[in-house]
Amino acid sequence: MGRLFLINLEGNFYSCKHCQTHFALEDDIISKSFQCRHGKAFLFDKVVNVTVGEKEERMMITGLHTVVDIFCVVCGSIVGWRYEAAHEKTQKYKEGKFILERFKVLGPDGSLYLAAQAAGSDADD
Amino acid sequence: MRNEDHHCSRDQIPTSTTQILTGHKNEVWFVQFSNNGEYLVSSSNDCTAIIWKVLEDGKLTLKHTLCGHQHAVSFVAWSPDDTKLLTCGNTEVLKPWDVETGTCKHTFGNQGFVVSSCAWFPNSKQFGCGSSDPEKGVCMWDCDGNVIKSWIGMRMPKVVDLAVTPDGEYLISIFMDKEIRILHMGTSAEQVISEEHPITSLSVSGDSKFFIVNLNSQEIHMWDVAGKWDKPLRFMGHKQHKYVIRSCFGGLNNTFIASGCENSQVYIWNCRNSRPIEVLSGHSITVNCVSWNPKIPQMLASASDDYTIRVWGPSLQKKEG
Repeated sequence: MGRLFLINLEGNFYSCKHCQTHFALEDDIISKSFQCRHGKAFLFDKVVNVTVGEKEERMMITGLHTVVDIFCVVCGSIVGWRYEAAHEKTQKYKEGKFILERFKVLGPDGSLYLAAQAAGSDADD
Repeated sequence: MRNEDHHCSRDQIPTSTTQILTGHKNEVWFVQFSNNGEYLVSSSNDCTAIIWKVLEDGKLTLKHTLCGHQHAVSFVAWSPDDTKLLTCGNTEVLKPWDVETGTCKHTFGNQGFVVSSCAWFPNSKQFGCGSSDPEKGVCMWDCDGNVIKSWIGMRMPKVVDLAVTPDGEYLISIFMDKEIRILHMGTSAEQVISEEHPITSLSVSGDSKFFIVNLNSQEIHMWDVAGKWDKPLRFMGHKQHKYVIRSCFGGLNNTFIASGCENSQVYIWNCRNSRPIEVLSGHSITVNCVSWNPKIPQMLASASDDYTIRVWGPSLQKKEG
């Protein structure tokens, strides 16, 4: 694998629930109102220690977006996505921002989040 | 005349593999020639470092395997007189070794000690040590384990890499917050250079005048130690996103830069041009570190995740002018 260059965050941060790699500061949360197939998701301004997947078009509740999935740089687990482009004008603020799925990360207090059994909800926000 | 000089330079550039060293059992993360050019040290994710002897015919042979670390050995520093080596375990202890006997007398640090890099002072008796722990900052130790001096700020950012210029005048520290601090040892005057991207490694020129840093934005920047430049010289073309990749000065008159790369190749630039003049293939995966022999400008070594070290020399075939 090689010697990864990992960025350590200080303060309140979210990290990988599998290997505790640091991902994002609580201060960089833009919104906690997003949803994904595993329940809640948070929109972040900045995320570190992730690699990106292939660009793809994805239809979401709020319309068509171009996104790339993001993976933990250490253990490779998928943890969310980054918005590359939004087709709706009202969604443009998301471009360049990151989604972390709450189910995939440890919170600042080390807390895990149990996936909500949202009835019938299969779509990402 | 200028073209002829360039032609001579190219003939002297290492472009072919002359030897493959297979002493390590895991990824090789670091490699560096001694100051006198007579030895090469390598260190690995197999928790060892190896001292190789450079023979008169240019071949390298294993001299010592240094065992004792419990974690990957991520960094090694030659003392200026080449009698001692410091090995850094990855987030682990620091060990000084006697080069001739391959033995270690002390271990610095303990479970809570988080060292990221170290650098000798010109007297070969004292060294500086950078920590990943914000409380620790940068410490200056002697070989008996005494702390001589500390530079501890209110909230010193984590130290990523550290170097002392060969003339001993400056201590250069790379911090996690993308800052480079150049501290004058005599006057304690400090200069700060800010980069826009995380810096993974630092290397100082043999004449103490310049240093280069690898950024994970896939650029290498060269700055002057005196701090007069407003902006750096930039070198690009290689790949670097995820890993610590190291580069170095070298070649004839130290006018070249070489770097490892995440796509398995070694890149070589002339200091006057931001695009590489040679791209060396042979390794099968990430090249973490390169080192140019300070006394043999045609000899370059590279350390790779393919478990090997490659030694490079000029191609035997003359290139058409």
